[in-house]
Amino acid sequence: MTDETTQTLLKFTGHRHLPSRLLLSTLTGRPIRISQIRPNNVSRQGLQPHEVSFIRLLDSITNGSKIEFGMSGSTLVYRPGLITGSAEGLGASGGVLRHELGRGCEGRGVSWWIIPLCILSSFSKGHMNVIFHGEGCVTGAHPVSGDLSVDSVRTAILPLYKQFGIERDIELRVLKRSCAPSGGKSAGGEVQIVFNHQVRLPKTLHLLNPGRVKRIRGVAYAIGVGGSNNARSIESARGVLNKFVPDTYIFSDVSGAPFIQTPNDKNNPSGKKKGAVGFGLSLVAESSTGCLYSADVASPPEGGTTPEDVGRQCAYQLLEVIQQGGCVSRSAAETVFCLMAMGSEDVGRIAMGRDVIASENTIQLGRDLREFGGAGWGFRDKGEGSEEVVVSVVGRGVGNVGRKAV
Amino acid sequence: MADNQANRPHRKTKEKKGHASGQPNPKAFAFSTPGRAQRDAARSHDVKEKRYHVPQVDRLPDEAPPIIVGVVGPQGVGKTTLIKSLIKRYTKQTLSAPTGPLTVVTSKRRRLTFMECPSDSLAAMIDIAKVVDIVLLMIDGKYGFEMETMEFLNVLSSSGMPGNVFGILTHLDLFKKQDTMKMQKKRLKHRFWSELYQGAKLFYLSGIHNGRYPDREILNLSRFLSVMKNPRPLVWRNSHPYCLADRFLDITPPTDIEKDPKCDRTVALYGYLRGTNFPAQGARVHVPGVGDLSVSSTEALPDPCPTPYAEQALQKATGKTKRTRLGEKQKILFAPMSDVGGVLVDKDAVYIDVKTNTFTQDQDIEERGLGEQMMVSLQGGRRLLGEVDAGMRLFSGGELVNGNAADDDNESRRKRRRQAFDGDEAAEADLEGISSDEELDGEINDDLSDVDEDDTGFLENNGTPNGKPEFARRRDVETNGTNGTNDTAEDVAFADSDSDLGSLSDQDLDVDDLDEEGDFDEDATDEDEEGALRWKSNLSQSARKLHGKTRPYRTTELARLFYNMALSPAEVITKWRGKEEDADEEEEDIEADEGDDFFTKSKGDDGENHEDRYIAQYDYAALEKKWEDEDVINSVQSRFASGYLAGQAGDKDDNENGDFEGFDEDEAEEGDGEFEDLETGEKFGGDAAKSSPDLEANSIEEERERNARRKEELKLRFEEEDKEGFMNDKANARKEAGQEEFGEDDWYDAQKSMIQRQLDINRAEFDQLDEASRVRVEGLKAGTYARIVLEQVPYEFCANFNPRFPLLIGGLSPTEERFGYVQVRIKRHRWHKKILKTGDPLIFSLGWRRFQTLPIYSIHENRLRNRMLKYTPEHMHCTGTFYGPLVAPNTGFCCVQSLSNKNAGFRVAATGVVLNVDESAEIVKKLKLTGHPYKIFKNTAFIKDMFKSSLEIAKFEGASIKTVSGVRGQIKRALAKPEGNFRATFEDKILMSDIVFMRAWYPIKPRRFYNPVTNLLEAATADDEGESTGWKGMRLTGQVRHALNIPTPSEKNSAYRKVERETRHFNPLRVPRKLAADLPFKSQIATMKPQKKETYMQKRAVVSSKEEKNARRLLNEVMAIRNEKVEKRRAKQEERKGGYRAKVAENAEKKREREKREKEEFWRREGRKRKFQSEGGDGPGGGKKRR
Repeated sequence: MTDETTQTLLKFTGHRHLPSRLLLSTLTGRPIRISQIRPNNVSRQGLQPHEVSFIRLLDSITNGSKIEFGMSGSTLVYRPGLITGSAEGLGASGGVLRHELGRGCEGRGVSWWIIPLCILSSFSKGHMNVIFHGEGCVTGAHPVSGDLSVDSVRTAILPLYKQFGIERDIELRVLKRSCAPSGGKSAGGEVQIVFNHQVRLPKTLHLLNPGRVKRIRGVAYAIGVGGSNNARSIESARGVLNKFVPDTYIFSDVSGAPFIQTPNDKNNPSGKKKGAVGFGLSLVAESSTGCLYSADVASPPEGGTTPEDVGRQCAYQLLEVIQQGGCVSRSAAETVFCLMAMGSEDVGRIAMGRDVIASENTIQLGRDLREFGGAGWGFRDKGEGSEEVVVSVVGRGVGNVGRKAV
Repeated sequence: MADNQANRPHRKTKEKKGHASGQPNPKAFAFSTPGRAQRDAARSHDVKEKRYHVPQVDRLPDEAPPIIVGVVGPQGVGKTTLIKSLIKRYTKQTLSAPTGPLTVVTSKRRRLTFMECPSDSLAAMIDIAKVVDIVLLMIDGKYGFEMETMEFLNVLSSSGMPGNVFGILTHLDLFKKQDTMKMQKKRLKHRFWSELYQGAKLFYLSGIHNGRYPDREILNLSRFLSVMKNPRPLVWRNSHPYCLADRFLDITPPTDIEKDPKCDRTVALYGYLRGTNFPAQGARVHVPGVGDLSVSSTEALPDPCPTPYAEQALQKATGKTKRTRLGEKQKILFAPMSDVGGVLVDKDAVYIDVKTNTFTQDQDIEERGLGEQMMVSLQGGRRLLGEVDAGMRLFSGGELVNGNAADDDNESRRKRRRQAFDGDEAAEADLEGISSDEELDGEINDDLSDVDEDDTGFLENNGTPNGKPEFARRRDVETNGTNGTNDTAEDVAFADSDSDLGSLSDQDLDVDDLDEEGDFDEDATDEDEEGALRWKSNLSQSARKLHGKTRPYRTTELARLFYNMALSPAEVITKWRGKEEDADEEEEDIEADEGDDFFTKSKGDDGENHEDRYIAQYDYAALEKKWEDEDVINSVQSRFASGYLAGQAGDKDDNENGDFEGFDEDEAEEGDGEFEDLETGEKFGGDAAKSSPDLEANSIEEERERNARRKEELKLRFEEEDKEGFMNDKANARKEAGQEEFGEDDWYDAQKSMIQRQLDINRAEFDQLDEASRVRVEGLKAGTYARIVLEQVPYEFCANFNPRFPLLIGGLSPTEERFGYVQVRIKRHRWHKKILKTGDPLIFSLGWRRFQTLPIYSIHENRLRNRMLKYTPEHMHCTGTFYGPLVAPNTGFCCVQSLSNKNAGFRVAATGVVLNVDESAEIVKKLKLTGHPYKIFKNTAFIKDMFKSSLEIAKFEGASIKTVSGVRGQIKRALAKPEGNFRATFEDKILMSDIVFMRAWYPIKPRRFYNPVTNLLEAATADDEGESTGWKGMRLTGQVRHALNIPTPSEKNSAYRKVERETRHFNPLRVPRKLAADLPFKSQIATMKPQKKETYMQKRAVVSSKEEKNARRLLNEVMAIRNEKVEKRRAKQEERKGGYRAKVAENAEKKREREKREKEEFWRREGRKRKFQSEGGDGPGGGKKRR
């Protein structure tokens, strides 16, 4: 008798789209095998620290996951367990899971962990409360890897869950701000994500009218540098945006560089050192129908950018994202599509800008979703001379199987 | 005497004041008490609320699949006869042996599928219960209810109970007396009602004529079936696709079977799809009795048994009318597993029954049965093979196969393709998009090589409707196209060579255009002109034109490219954008490309270093330049709330052309806000000066126009801000999402309307998609007749296939393929003889699956822990945990211990519902460790015998322990010597005789045992007398021992021994003298001093002789008699004295009264006297004072 209880592995290759594949695997419960993860790269062969850290995070929020690495780290077999949340006993204490992003994780912003984690959290069995901290925790936008800042996650990604009927007790707290460090330095930020609204099935989404942008909000942050940097970047961003939206308000947040514990450093007797310094700007445009567009620019780790440049660039980026159109921006597409695919067996519709659809991440997500047993997406023109594409996604009714009956 | 007795007549009653005749008595409907009114209102509300059920989505499609009618009952009750009678009633056909599902068209929009449930297989009953819509429950009226009936009803209720269960009493002709029959009917009816619900429908079939039940009674039954409403959807069936297969075909390549007769087979199953939509590809299904299988392909087939309604719809769509009314011939019966239509599909052969012996080919083809038609078409194929090259059809609906030439093949393909082009969308081409791109390219090349052949005139014969050969036309287009490209350099998307075409889509487009417009020459010239214009106009405008053109960013093309796995996502993007052409342009005009995008790929992009980005990389220098551009700014203004509203209404071009400047100025004049100020300051600094003289020069008409425009703008702005306005985005979004306004009490209606709206959206959305994406997105709709090909089916399934047993194909949701621990709430069935034991194998029917597993029963204690139970409680629910597929909570299930027919009792062992699924289970078993003190200090004691090593003790340090008498304590520390003893403290001093025990909990894991019931894979052997299958599950240990005749091992330690309890000796309480002296007086212990002097009796020893003894006894007796007498006398005397005592009491009472009276009288007199005395003097007060 063949062992019926073990499923066949879905096979993927390459290091790209790793979080979204792991995410889909965890949501649908299909075990996957990813091979050829940077096989020929001499300096960075196999899984990188941040990817390992993401897998460790998955391990600690699930129950019964099995993870196997190949010898060189270029092959990964992942058999997902059930998402339990930050339940007592499995790495969490007091209902809070502290996840450390160690050295080597500073190549990505912390939003790279948070965005998939939020998607998982809504299908968790219990509540989710995770604190990210450590030397590799970058809360600001990451200029190298192109990750969002936590402010954009808070203001542009988390409000999206409301459209799916997931709205209570969701909070993202920035406990310590940090920015992307250059070589040798550390970030040392601290972010807490509380996600306590779990659902059986997300609501079916119909988002066809992007509306018109009516207000712009934002956060300018300066870490370890003077607050005038904020004022300067805000000033220049407003200079660009005032042409379009009079209702622009950008908050300013000035904080010192975080201290990082270095107990084993001989040169540093106090056992503490300062984290990286920098500044950045996160802008979010809200339309009259509640659609959100975000832009994020931060100073590069090596420095050499004026705050005015950051402000202007961020404003231009925002305008560009708005011009792309659609009801969601590129950075939020993953969240929206994943939640739509998990919903009940009805058609959800969403209008998308062409350039949002035509991004590698989105296309690969659509293909991967189909691999994982989801339905294919339907495309049609929105009509009326609109340049938007209406994507219709049929849910598979996967939802949250671990949710207890009441 | 009785006759002449006259009773007194009644008094005449008063005439009552009646209410108006014809009217009801008003008093009868009035509220007699004020509380009554309230209670009545509450009750009527309750009744109203009871009508409501949770609104459920009804996913039944327009063209619903046939309703499954299960005919269930024990052996020999007349199931087959009933099916035969019903088939005869519906189709006028007589079947000899109906097997498998039989589908008949019963009315204009309804079909029924009859399925007989074999009575000898409990597994089949379980399967049928999962899919059946209507149950015809056959009961032997002479015998009464049998065990199978009751089992089926219980299985049915655990799977959700479809609500339509009709009982049918048969064998009523065996009753000799009418009275007994009536009694039996009544008895059975009431038993049936108590089993289902009061008033459940029960039919009576009185006897058999001509091998069928009486026509009248069958007609009544069929009427009942036809008026039946659609049942309320069941949750499980509403969330899973499934199919009851009515045809089975082994399509394994014969060579494989030849190589290995026991190789895994490929099996095609046919049937109507039900439940939710069946995924188009890659579905996983469970076939109960076989196992989990993957579907290699699912394809929709033409309905073999269409309803007249569907046929009409089809005729309307195709424009061909065949017949106007439902004739006898259209009363179709479809039963591939039975001997219908002259075809009997056996296990390994197909028998075709030709009815007449005078067989001619040219007979009306409709007259023939299905088999005959098939035969004739096959024979026809052979006859025509040499003569006409029309080709032979191997499969129905398949391609025409022809041995002639490859170009013929090409031609057929071309024809197919042209058909697709004729359609409004390139639907067929979309279908092709699923296959790989190379193939397409090859096909194109093939086609184009044909073009050369064109010139030879080969295709001249096959003229197209336009009179011009199709390929000639096509070539014309292409030459035009290439000419165009040559003329205008990179104007059109055509490439110079065919290989550059890349995808078929471009070509489709051309032909599309051509088909739509017809005159392609004009088209080409248009393009030429466009190309010419382009150089003249300014660059950004032309860029916009390029952008606005529909050639790149075609959505239909995206749908095709998106799932073309041969292309990487990056390639898809470039193809969809039409980047290849742009590449050349970029050198000439960067401006033109600006609208496109600013994503520059990082250098050294070999894929290895490329990481995923959330934020795209932008070239900020170019962006800055772009957003300085007035046109770009204007073009995007409509996306902002502060921008022009009129632009949103439609004519975007107006905005883009920028002839709206004046308007902005007007707004600025108004002083609308800081934004305008800023804007003029920044943007219109130069313009304002230039335009003001223009303004002055403007004629009145222009001003009027501007005013009108402004008015329009203001109006739109008002509409936008107004809550109900048609420009209000939020209101519109709400309207689109179907969130209508509902009052507080209309929640139910609101929910229902939301569900309905979502269904409408689903339908509308699917209708908008082209066929290929529709199937990809939606899957195959329920109600479709489909062929499902299953891969890697065990060969035993084909070898042991028996159409008698229902064959289900149940779709699995992704989580149901996972395995883990399932926690259920379970209750032993009250009719099952025994309680269930933890760890005993039990067959669960959960979801589609039937499997054997080892549940562990537990109970939730104090909301703290799950304590394991050895057995299920007698009459209570408990929790069960087993290893199995993860099924969504709230799913019901039922359990049996064995499927064997040998079990005479009630086989359904337990029922329940899934509570929770997890990958680990937290069940604990109670464990009591006991020990004995061997040394006791004050509150400390040393305990032995509880543990074996100090390591164990270390683990339990601080654990609470207790003596049997209830003294609580704590484990402190292990003693160094002897090993396993420890020190403990207690709240009081314990006794040496106390037993110390510790309560602990030992975690238990259920065994990971899952054994699917593969009853369809094993045929019954000679050993299994009376069984339907040879499948045997895991047996209980006891059964194995019994079968193998192994004695039960008995451990010495497990045997009960006689309990020896020594009597305990308690020492008396001794209070030390010093303490006693210090005690307070109250607590002083009063002890008598021991008597020092001996008593009289102690002093003497009496030795009595016999006489003395006799005398003493006699005296005792006499004294006893005397005492008795005295006692009696005393009682008598007491009785006598009673009267006297009462008298005395009475006298005393009288005396007291008299004395009281006398006293009062005396004092009255005395008082008067004193008064008198005092009046005689000065008055009482004064006189006294004076005295």
